[in-house]
Amino acid sequence: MSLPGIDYADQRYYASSYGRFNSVDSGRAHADDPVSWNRYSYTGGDPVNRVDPNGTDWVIVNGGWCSTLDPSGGCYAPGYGGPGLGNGFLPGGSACNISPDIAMAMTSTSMGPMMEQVCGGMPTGNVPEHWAPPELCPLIAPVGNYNVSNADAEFAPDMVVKVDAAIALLNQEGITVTILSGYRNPARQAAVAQDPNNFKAALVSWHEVGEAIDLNIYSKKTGTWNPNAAQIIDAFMNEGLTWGGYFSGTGWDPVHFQNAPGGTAPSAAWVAACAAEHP
Amino acid sequence: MRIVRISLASIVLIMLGYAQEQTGKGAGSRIYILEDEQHHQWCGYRIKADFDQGVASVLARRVGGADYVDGRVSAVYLVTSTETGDWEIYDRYTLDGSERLQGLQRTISVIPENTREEQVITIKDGKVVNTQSTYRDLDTGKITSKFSSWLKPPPLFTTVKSFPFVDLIESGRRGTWGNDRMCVAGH
Repeated sequence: MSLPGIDYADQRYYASSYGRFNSVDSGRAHADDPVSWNRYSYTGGDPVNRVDPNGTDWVIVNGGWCSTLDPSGGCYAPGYGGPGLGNGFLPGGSACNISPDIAMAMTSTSMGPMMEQVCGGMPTGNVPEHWAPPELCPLIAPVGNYNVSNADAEFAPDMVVKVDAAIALLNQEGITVTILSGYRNPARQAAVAQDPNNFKAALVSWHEVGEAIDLNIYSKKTGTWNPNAAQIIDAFMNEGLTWGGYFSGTGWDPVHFQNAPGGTAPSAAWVAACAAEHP
Repeated sequence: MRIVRISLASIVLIMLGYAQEQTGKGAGSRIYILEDEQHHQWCGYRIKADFDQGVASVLARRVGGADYVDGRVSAVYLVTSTETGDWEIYDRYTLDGSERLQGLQRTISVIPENTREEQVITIKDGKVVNTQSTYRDLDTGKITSKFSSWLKPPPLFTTVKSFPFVDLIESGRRGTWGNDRMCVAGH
């Protein structure tokens, strides 16, 4: 529903005549970006280089990763597909705008590689704005009703906001998720490398800076998908997280979500900062 | 004079050993290989430090190598990891005296499952004839019950020719690399 001069942007109404939203941005403010302290501004006052597709927070479009993803000229934006539809692309990339449950089915077929070719990469989440290493690496446990298994279920501040929101939504739907893995220090991450001959592959994960989460999307006990997988995937992707179920080939990882696009990794300095603070 | 002869002999022996190392024909020589996805190529290295540097610079998720004994390939390695950091698969293929694949030790480590699966696979005449699996707790190493993972392991190879970096294995053996690094188009 829209009123004259006011457009609905999924989460907030945007008053085009004033160039601002009529309510505060539910996304985070950024301590190092004073413009973001104005919670009524659109994309932090930079509509050329940023978009705010659902009214909760902006993502970088020009000069960022998403301007190169879609060969038809579109640009990916978390939540663009609308509630229940998952993430999508801004105009030009409608072929890539698929819901998570459809993508989940497609990744196990030959359609997965095709989607990757068409989209220039499977849909991904937004770029953490602390792209440069933060001076500190605070970790925060989510709130809400959830279980924990084999995990340090703590996350970076910008990640935990999204995890909180997704868990809250799922709790409202009567769904309780189990967190399989959250922040990992380098020692824990290295546990995956069991190579006695020391052929070390690159081993840098968003888990090492608290920007990734593994969930019980797939039940190892029954060998089947969690019956609530689609809702869980939808909830976390609508918070702008990238789902590992979109990763192709052997990289397919349906239990994984990260607060960064696929094909990226945190800087060594960022990992080192977290390792120093959480040995 | 005798000291000079001993020194000369030592230098010759050292140089001979170096030459064998360079051509991959010496006992126990090894090459290191990484996949450079961005440039669609596989690169081989003779020096471990250069290899490690290469892995870091291109964030190589698939690495491996080959061992040579007396000029023949004795083992081929392939380590496959994921950008999510959730799992890693370590493969060590062994070859018989005729350079036919005869076995594979595969270790699949999965952090979200906190589990490690150790597979011993027997290969004969280009076919897998037996597979034994042991499951362990990733933290403690204790044997656990079987688990079914969401992980889709990469295919295993039953012939040397089927490795995507077979050209590097062959050229590494022949010593035809112009320097300590060689890259070939990959798939």
